[in-house]
Amino acid sequence: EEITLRAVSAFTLGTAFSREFESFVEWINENGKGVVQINLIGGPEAVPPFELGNAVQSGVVDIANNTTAYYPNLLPTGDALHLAENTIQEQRENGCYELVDRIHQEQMNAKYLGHGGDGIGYHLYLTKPVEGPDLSGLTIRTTPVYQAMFTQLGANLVRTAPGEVYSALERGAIDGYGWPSQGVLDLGWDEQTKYRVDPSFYNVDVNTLVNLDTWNSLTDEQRAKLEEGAAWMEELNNDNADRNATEYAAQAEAGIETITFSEADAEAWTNAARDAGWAAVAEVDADLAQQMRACMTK
Amino acid sequence: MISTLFDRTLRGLAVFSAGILGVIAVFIAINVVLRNLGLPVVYGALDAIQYALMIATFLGAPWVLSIGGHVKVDLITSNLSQRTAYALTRLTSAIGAVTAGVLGWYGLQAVLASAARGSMIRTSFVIPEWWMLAFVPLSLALCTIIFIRRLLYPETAERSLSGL
Amino acid sequence: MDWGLTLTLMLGGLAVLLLIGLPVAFAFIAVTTVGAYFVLGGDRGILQLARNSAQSVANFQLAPIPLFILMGEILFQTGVAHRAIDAIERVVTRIPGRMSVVTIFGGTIFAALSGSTIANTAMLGGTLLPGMLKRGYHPSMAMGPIMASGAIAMLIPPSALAVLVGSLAGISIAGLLIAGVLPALLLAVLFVAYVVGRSLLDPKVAPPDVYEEMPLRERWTPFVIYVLPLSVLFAVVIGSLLAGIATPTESAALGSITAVIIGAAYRALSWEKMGRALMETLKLSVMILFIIAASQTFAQVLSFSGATNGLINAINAVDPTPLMVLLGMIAILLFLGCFIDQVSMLMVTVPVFVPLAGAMEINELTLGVVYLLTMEIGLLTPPFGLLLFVMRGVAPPEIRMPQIYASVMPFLLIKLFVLALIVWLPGIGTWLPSLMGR
Ligand code: NA
Ligand code: NA
Repeated sequence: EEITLRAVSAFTLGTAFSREFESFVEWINENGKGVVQINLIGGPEAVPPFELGNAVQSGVVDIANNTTAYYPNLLPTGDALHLAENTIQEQRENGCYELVDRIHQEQMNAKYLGHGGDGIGYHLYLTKPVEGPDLSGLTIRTTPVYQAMFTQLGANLVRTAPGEVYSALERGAIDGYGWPSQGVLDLGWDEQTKYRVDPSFYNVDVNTLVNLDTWNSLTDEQRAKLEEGAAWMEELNNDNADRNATEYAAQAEAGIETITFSEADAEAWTNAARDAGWAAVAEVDADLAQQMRACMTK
Repeated sequence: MISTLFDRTLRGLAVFSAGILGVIAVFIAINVVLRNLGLPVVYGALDAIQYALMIATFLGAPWVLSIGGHVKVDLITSNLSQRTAYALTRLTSAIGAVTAGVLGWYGLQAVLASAARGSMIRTSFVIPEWWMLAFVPLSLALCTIIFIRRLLYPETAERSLSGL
Repeated sequence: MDWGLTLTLMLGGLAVLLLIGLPVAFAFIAVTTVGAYFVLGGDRGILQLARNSAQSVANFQLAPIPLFILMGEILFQTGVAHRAIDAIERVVTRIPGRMSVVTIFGGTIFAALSGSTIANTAMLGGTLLPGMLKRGYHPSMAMGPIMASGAIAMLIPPSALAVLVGSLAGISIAGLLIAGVLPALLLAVLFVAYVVGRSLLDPKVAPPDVYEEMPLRERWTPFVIYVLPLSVLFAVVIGSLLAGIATPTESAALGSITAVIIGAAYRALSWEKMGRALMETLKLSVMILFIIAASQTFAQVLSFSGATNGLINAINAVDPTPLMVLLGMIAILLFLGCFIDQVSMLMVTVPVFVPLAGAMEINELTLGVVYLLTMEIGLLTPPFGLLLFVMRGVAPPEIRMPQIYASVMPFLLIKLFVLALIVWLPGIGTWLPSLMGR
């Protein structure tokens, strides 16, 4: 028989980090007729983003499109997911997917069904130029995602509410901010941004989570259909390279110059990102950090 | 006697909450000045202020309820005889008590579940999540008591004009 | 459950609870708790609701609300406000309806210093009404301007209600704070024009009064001492916002601190007064923030149930023009404003109006200004108008409620005129924010 699952996204529907998930929902509703359907209820207006993890854990929603940064209270080692340097397809090959799935099941009662965001890296955006990876003297707006890395590179960190970033940049209260490769123009921050530092580091992680009790109550056919849809969605990650190129061109158009580090500097930059990131995860759970690092980095 | 002690507790919590608001004003102003002098600002200020606002709201709410400071629509209630008014106060107080009691009870379950799981808030500082969740049932428990008192003694229900 | 039924039950239940006099916040909580049980799925739904309520006020964007209230309270508690009114009275001379004009000037200046229409109206009423009645002003020329200009406090920053509208409706708070300035000044100008015009046509309503003759220097000295320094506050709050050098939160915090400094400079500060200002601030802030916690969760449950989307789709199916939708919203807001308070007006309508306005591509600042103006009008429309009650409280006992209603009518018409003007020429609201350094 057909079952309908209730889904909510942590991101406003129609925006960059909901896009793949919405495609997934469409795919299921088209290919899962008579088996499984998804009722996409909405975004943050239905469940506050930082509560979505709890809602999928308790079963208030059956499926969530969520990023680990929104549920560190439930999955404290979740930061590891955006430190990954391989793709979800590679992780399904090397057993890393099972590890991450197991952690989600054990720690937050959720099936880790699918993963998006591969290929969307983070950048440092600045109002003044830098020579190399030394950030001392710069005040950077940060979120917990890059807190460890920017601290290690000597930056002065501040937390700024999203609605106040624009004016903080304008007044020189902050000299820059970390943000994914996509989305700067949507926020209008490009008007106050002069430079983007390349290379990018880390990866956006948007995860499709299913309440574990719901998952266990499904028939094999229903589960297979959802997994098939997830695999289809994960292939969409391949489009991110093109999207980045389009976005970088638009940023250049908007007057954002690219600062490209020399090879040595780029390596130092990437190493700092990697080491600081994993050190922070290890502080939470050294054993898990080691297991995940082994299967997520090259 | 017990009632007086209870009112003092409410007021004590309110004074504490009012203090929080004062501290927020000073804190933000200091941060602005520090920044304009080119000095490093207090890193976790944003997160601290968010939680401070939440704490002040929930700890201050029972006192505001007890002095009749929560806005009401008195379209009907202002034109009633005293007897009818008391009866209506009893009815609304009963609804209020059940509402605050039920949500407070589930709030407590949320606190216990979070504490049992060991969930931590991870922003610029790391603290147990239940510390923050606990203000919800605490506040609602006090509101429940106020509603029950008003149910028993409707004449103590204060009328005051509130709004902006 | 069908979305129409959910919507009817939730809004209907809310209406009943509000009407029998349950405090607004608890009326919302009651309906939302029942709604959460059915919509979010039983016990776990209510548990989620309890968590969401904590989350909803842990929001940095709400910080200006207590800070703006604190700033005004400090000025009122220290008596700085009252002395400034006296000083303004001295320098306004030789104009028909002089005291009414003083009221409007004073009310507009204090609108830029306080976010509370109640405090503003009570202060104007307390200091100016007795003198006006004694001088033989017609009650409508005395009370009307007091209530009308007292209400402007919510249009000009600092305005806690503007912050509330901005944060609930997802509109730029800085933009909305600035957007209220021009309509407010337009209102003040039209009020003065009306007062002067009426006094010229019918001198009885505002007898030309005998004010003390005094040398120029004596006339202006109190103004220089008690009014001009307040422009520092004006610069700190509105100037910093307009120039884009401070965020709303920062301008509010700096405003509070500046108010303390000004109070200290006048030697009008004491621990007792500071304590009273803080407790009053707490009372109003908690009232608002607690309602926010209650109503945001209400909106979440409504949205989760599909009622929000259902209603929007139903309205879209009729294919109305954005103007029709905007006029419909205004009609509903004006109607609600007759019966319920400003915060409740906002809470009841935002969950539906904001997504609807988004779907209809109505400019968000225009929507915000419409909210502010209709809320402001609601302060003055009988039977339930907060400022009408404030006036009842400060007016002498022989003044009857119908007289208070009548006195405000001409000013209500002016406000409706400005509202219509904004729908016709939205630039009145959106032009100033467009100049801001964001
Ligand atoms: Na104001
Ligand atoms: Na009204």
